[in-house]
Amino acid sequence: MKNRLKVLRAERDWSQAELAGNLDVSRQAVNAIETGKHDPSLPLAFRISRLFNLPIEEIFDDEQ
Amino acid sequence: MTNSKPSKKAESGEQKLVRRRRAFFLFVIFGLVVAAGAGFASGLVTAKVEQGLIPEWAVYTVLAATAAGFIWFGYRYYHRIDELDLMDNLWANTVGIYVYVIITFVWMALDQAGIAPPPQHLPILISTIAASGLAYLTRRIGVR
Repeated sequence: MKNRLKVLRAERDWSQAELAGNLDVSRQAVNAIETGKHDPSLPLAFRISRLFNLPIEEIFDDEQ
Repeated sequence: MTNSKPSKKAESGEQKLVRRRRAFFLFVIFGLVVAAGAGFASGLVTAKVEQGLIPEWAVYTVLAATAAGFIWFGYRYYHRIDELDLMDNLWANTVGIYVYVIITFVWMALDQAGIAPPPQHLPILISTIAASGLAYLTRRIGVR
């Protein structure tokens, strides 16, 4: 699934580790989501949405 | 809603991650120390029972406590890891159980056909653990 995590992270000048710490997941998990290797669970998607203060569909794009 | 920008007073994500990782490793080390202690205690109690120094129920008590500790550790472990680690563990466990079932049934069939000796538990267990470990490592190096 495509996503804007890398862009949103860059806007805030956060490293993958900082984002991971804010989401309480591993840095590897953030990397896997950013590169599209792993789709986040619904609870994690909501945490990401709350953290960036954006609707889920503005972060993730399920169009193939 | 959580603020999109962290305050300067708040713990940074990097610090959170370091703290979380440290707490996780301490938890794992604690589990390993307790497991080693349980192994030592069960060996000691078994020897004392064999010598007739303590009653047989002591062995059951130690084994039950060890099993309960093992289950508790597994339960807490799965609640502490994130979903990527959880998936890696689930994949590893699935591969392990498949290997266990396949080897056991194939070996049993070969035994019934008179081709192989009766199945032995230890080599099957070692194969299961090895397959699980390999599956976990494969996931960890990025094969998904």
